[in-house]
Amino acid sequence: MRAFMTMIYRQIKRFWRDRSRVVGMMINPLIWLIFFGLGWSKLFDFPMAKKLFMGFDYLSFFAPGVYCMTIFLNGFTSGLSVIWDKQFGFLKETMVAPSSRKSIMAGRIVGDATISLLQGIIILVLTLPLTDMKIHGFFPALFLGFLLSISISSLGVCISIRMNSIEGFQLIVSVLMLPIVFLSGAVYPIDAIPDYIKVLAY
Amino acid sequence: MEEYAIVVDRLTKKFGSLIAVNHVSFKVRRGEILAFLGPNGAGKTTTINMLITLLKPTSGKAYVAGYDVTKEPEKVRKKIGVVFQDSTLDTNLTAYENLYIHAGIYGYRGYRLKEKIMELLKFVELENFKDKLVKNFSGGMMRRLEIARSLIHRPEILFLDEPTLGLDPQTRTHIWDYIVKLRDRYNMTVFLTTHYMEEAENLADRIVIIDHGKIIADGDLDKLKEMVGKDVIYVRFDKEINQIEWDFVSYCKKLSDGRIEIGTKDASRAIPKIFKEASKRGLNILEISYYKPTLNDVFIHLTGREIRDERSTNSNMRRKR
Repeated sequence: MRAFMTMIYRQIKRFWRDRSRVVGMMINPLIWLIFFGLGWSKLFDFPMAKKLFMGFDYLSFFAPGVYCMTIFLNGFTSGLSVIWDKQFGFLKETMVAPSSRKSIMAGRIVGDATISLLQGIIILVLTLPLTDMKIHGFFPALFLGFLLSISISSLGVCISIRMNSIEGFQLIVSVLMLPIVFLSGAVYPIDAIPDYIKVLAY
Repeated sequence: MEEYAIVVDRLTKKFGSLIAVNHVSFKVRRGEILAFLGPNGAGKTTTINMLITLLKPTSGKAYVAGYDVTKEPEKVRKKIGVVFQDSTLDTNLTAYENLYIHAGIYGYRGYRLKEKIMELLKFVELENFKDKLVKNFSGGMMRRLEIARSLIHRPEILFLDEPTLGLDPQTRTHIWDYIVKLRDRYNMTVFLTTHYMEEAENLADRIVIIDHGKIIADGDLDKLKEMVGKDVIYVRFDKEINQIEWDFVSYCKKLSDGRIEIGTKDASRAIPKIFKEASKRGLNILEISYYKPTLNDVFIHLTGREIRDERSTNSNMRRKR
């Protein structure tokens, strides 16, 4: 248990130390939101548009998507840190520790998931005034975001365990990422895509 | 069992068809500094990795601190401290945080922890750098910090894989001091691998030489040197003499340049005797020098080649990396 907590502490501390990462990770979703979201929301500013997006204006439809996307993008860095630690030896260091390796891995995952969830929350709070999202939806969103961050971090770790280079990992992530983002229904309603692609989404 | 910290019995590791470690057996007494000496690629790191439970042996047995490394790896891990060949520090964290996180992963916590970390930082003389990021440290400082880190959980046995690789001579002697201090202060057993002859010579109580995955010699420095032969003294007297028959001389030979080569068991004791005998016979000594066989001679004697050849090419490779 102590090892678990320590790993969480380490992951968060490391992240916090790396200010460029703190800032950089926030910028990506903001770019999506501002350049993509605002642009399209102007375009969809006609009476029928709300119907297209399940009764919301486009920004309100898109903002939760960006929330998830933030968690999603950042969650994968968990895998990145495994490769990083592999290359710099910290992984070996934890392997010779008497604590269970499962709890060390779990601590790492939860630590990274917490980071990505926090970033998601920042995005969510930032978008709140721009959209007609409701405050009482915050906690369900938090819960879903938590599940998402844990699962993505775990997925990242699973992939990274088999990988040895950061470049290779990034390649896999980028191959996985775009389809997942588009098929998730974050950008447009899933109903809008043809049936044969819809199969992939589910 | 208690007398020995490490017992290794016919330990073998194969990687595919390559036999990295081949039926290696040795024992390490408690409180002993053992140097595992051999050229790169001899199987040193593979052996250490099996002993610290990172690699499963293909066959054979190894007991560390009384526990079987394959059956009770967790118990072994509790008793050992490891300093790896390449740095495993978290360079984005400070010296203190590195030790703190290590302690946490080993399950330590509480108010005494801080004291302990400070004590260890003081031991390696890094207490003034405790809040500095490790990425700004020099190679020697990193090594010292790693040694401190490996000591947090008070291990019984310390494993050091090439502890002074790539460090300058001054820093190296500094690190040796710490290792000796550790043994003296905590009666710690130290298992270190190295390909530096001087390191094994200066530091180790016992030396095990490994080459191509096989142990080719095992013993203390004197015993190993005896394998090569005797110390040699070269003297030049002011008068020609043809034969010396003193009881401590095992052989003597006249060299073409007029010097006399004297073979003896222990040169440092023989030299004063030579002075005494010479003055008794009214001879003046113009020149005297002696040669003691080095570990390098032992290695050449055993393998027919120098350990250094491989070292130089390898350190070049390392630099490129």
